[in-house]
Order: sequence, then C-alpha cells, then structure tokens
Amino acid sequence: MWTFLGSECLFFGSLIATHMVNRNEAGFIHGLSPACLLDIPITSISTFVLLMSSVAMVLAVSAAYRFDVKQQRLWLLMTALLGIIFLCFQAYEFQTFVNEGLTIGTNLFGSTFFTLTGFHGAHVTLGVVWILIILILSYVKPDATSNPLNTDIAGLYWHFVDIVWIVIFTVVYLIGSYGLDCGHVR
Amino acid sequence: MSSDHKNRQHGASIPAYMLVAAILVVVTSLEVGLFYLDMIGELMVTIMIVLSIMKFGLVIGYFMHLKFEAPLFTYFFMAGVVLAVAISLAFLTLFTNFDIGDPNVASPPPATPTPYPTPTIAMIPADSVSNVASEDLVAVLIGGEGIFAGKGCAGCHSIDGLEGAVGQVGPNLTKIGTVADTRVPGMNARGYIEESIMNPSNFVVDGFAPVMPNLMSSFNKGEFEELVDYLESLQ
Repeated sequence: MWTFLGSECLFFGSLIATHMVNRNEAGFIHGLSPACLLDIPITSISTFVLLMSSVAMVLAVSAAYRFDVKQQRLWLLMTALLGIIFLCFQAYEFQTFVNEGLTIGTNLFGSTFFTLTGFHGAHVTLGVVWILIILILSYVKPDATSNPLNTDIAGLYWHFVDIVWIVIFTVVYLIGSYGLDCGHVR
Repeated sequence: MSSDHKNRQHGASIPAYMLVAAILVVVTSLEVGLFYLDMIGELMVTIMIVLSIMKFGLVIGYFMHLKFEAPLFTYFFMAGVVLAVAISLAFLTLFTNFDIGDPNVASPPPATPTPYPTPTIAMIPADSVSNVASEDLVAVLIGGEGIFAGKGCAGCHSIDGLEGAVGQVGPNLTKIGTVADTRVPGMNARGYIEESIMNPSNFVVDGFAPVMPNLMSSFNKGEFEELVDYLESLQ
C-alpha cells in the first residue's frame, strides 16, 4: 500500500507542477484566472470537511482494532458522508466555474485545474465507494471484514487523499491566487 | 501490514488523535488567516509551504501511523514523495526561471523597444516578401501582422495585401476595422473584434460555418491587445 501511495505522489506531483507552471497562461482573459475564480472561503470549508473525514476514519480504524463493530460502522458512515459532502462542494465549484465560462478547454488554467482537482475528486469518489463497501460487508459478511487491516488499509488510502488535498489547497488555492489581481482585458 | 499487525498496540491513542486533529484545524485556519493578511508578501509562500509540510507530516505520521511502522514503509513512501518533489521543482525551475521559449510562438515580440517603427503593410511591398516561405514570413512580420500570421489566423482569414493571408474558411478581414463597427448595434469595432476572438461562436457572419476555434490560450495579454489594435486599424 505504501509503495502504491508513493507512486500516487508522483502522479499528483506532476499534475500540481503542471498546474503551477501553466495557471497564469491566458488566465487574465475575461476574468477566467485563478484570482478571479478560486473561492477561498468555500474551499476552506470543504478542506475542513475533508480533514474531519480523516478524523472520522482514524476513529473507525481505532474501533476496528478494538473490535467495536458499532463504533466502526458509525465512523465509517461519517467518513463516507463527509467525503460525499466534500464532493458536493467540488461539484458546486465546477458548476460555478463552468457558468463563469471556464471549462477544461478554455485555457491552460482551466485544463490543468480541472485535470488536477478532477483526478483528486475521482480518488475521493473511489475512497467513498471503498469505505461504503466495507460498511455494507460488515453487515452482509461480518467474518470477511472482521480483520481490522481491511479498514486500516482503506484508511491509509483515505488519509492519503486528504494529504493530497492539503497540498492542493495550499499550493493551488492559497499560494496560487495570493497577491494576484483579478485583471480584465477591458 | 504484517500479520501480527492486528495483535499489537496500534498507532497512537484516541486523545493523541484528537490532539493531532486540533493542530491540523488550527494550522489550516492559520493558513487561511494568513492568506487574508496581506502584509507579509513574499514570506507568505514560505510560511504556507512550511505549514503545509507540517500538516502532511502529522497526517502521515499519526493518522496513517507511519511513525509506528517498520522503517521499510517509510522508505517506500518517502522515495515517492522525494521523487515527486524533485520532479515538481525541476519542472517549475525549468519553466519559470529560464526562457526556453514557447514552441507555439513563432516570433516572440522583442522585449526591448525596437529602434525602427513597426512595419505597416505599406512599408512591406508585396513583392519584397513574395518569395519568402510562409514560415519565414512570420519571422519577417512583427507586431499585429506577425501575430495574425503566427497564430494561424491567416490560415482561415484573408487580408488583401498581407502575404500568406489567403484563407477562405472565415470572412475576409481586409476592412474589418470599418465593418466591425456596423455589425452589432451598440458595439464598437474594438469590442466586436475582441468578442469575436474571445468567443468565436457569438457573432458568426452569414454564409460562414461556426468553426473558429477559441485561441485565447495561445495569446499573452500584450499579443492579444496588439492583434486587436492591428485588426481595428484595418479600415
């Protein structure tokens, strides 16, 4: 698992670097730039939500090792719900951007931004599905899921998705739009 | 991930997890706070990166209990992290510190003011450039004409007197500065030209297909304005 996560670092590292290099390419045109579009308050909330989902996951793993199935199910459900809330924020953000006229084909900011956050969103989605499968299996096939390692490894993946967002939020959102004006052509 | 994993004390205690969570929340709030505190300038990027690495380490070490695992796991993961950071830094350095040129720009406008005026169509007689291949032409023409040719506009639009601008896919732009003023009520020539480049499908001339691509990502601000200046000057 750790080797896989190491390789995932390379994957996201490349996407983030590509975004940083290209984010200002033609981004100033009719307001479709990072400084004009990125919504820091909203994204701060979604970042907080994802962080809390990691806390819930820690509690789920901890309960799994104590063989406290009720607590484990409760916190797995919380993790999945918080993950879904995060995805709703992302869907809202994408919708807002598209309404403003920024799509994946508009400019390099759009291309790299949607590719990066889209892949991250896909990872979150996969994590939610994974966690829900463990949750459902704990009812359907309790024997198969009684090994805490199942929850633990899903947890590793989930926390990894969280740290990728920690980096994206800092680098793409905060540093990425810091000190830039929302300059228009006209 | 070893088989004895589930039988030993696993990672930190719940109070420790809560403490880590609290630190993560505080650090994230601090980052957002710093973002709105506009006072520290360049230093902010450094502080942000340090805080971010701190959060990264806390989640990996405690939530992902790497701190309590065999060192081999750390080596596996950190190999990926180090490689990713190295590649990112190399990439950023390559593209931000060195001018390696943009392969898509045939002729970048000179950075220093040129000692000679921007050539106009009148200054470049058609016969003087007629034998020049169109790729070379891009290098010969500078200013708006160079952008017009270099960005591929000439492939679809013709401008009488401009070598290479013979495309028939889109409207002839020989008098676009005059024509643009009359196209949309309440919109002046400049506005019409800008809008037509920014959103090509908004105003499509009758008899032409709405096939013009959005080329905005291939211009920088200066090039865009220079191109609009040039087109507006075509009376």
